[in-house]
Amino acid sequence: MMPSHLKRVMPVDDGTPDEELVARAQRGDRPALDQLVRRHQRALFALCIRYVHDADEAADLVQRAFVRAMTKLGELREAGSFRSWILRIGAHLALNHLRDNARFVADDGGVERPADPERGPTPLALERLESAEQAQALRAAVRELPTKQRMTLELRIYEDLSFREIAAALEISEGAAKVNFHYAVRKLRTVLGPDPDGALRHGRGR
Amino acid sequence: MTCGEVLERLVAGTDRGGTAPDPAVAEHARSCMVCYRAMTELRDVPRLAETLREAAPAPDPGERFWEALAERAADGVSVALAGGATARPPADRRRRLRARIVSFGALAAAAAASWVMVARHPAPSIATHAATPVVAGVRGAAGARSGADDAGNGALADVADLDPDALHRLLDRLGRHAPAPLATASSDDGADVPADDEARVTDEVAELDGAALRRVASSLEASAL
Repeated sequence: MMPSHLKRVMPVDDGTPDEELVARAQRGDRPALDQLVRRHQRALFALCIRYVHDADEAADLVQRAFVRAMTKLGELREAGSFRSWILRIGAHLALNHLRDNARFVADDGGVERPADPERGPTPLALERLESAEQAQALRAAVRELPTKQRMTLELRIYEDLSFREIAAALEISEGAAKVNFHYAVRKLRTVLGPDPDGALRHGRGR
Repeated sequence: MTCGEVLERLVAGTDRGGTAPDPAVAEHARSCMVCYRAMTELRDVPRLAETLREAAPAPDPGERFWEALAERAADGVSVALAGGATARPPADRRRRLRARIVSFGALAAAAAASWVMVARHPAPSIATHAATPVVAGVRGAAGARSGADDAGNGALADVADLDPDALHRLLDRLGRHAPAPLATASSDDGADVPADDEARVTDEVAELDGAALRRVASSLEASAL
């Protein structure tokens, strides 16, 4: 006899609004719940794993985020903003997880090297290495951002949320979300360095 | 137009995917260094976003992983909505729970073992064992011995100095703090443990819950004290 989980027909995302899926899921409609989970789990998992760097722990956090979101729907101000709501819960759970475990989360292990201003034109391999180092330094700088700035930046850049959605997710004003984003960009620019194309345009390139 | 409004429009420009400021913003920025600087900074948003996305691409562990994760998350929600707990507590909660049980168990076992070792000696020898290293942090032992309220007395006392009444009060307190699910042992034969096997006594007492400890106390009172 086939196990029940294999017999279940995987729901296809038919474009039903989140609001309706949430209401149906709350009434015990399992296909609606499945559709809701499948629609948002990838973004939620991607967000969690950026914090915890471990697939099992990120999967744990995804499950907990859905459970918390569905059991605390009364706290959701706009029923249509389920996506930003679940992402916010996931981010908070991930931050709490890091704090509770208070351990060093290893990154890819590269060593930061100072830029060499005297270096001339570089081979492609060296450019790639520099690019990887820059990316790593950038990720480290993101982790050093204050929580609200980091969450604003990540929700904007990775999850493509509008500032209005970010404001709803973080329970701040839209203006505050924009200011947080600006501050985060300002700090990260120092790691990113000058835009080589821009420098050439302004005649400062070598 | 204020600087705050300019900044909002500049950031909103990044929201729309473009960074070209509208004429009013550009006009303001020409005469305001702060806004000009912000405009310059925000020009780098597309490059920054591209670098960040390349640095941390969205993970894709495969369809089987996503199916399993969806199943697990939906199961957890279903159980929670039905009024139960999640089917499988997360790993960090399990770790915390385990650590809490172990610490409670260790505390109860140490205290109970100390009490048993002292209580097993005949009453006349209690005074002679006062200098033994079996010392517990019992607050207000002197007050307890005299029948007074022991609250507020922070001195440490030797368990060996306690009289039977004080020992019972201590045991009751330990019993109240002992975690119930530590063990299912409910033996009332604590007094039958061989006298020369202290390690075994300690292990067995460590397995007792609060109710069992009280039964051991009653049994000891009848046979030893």
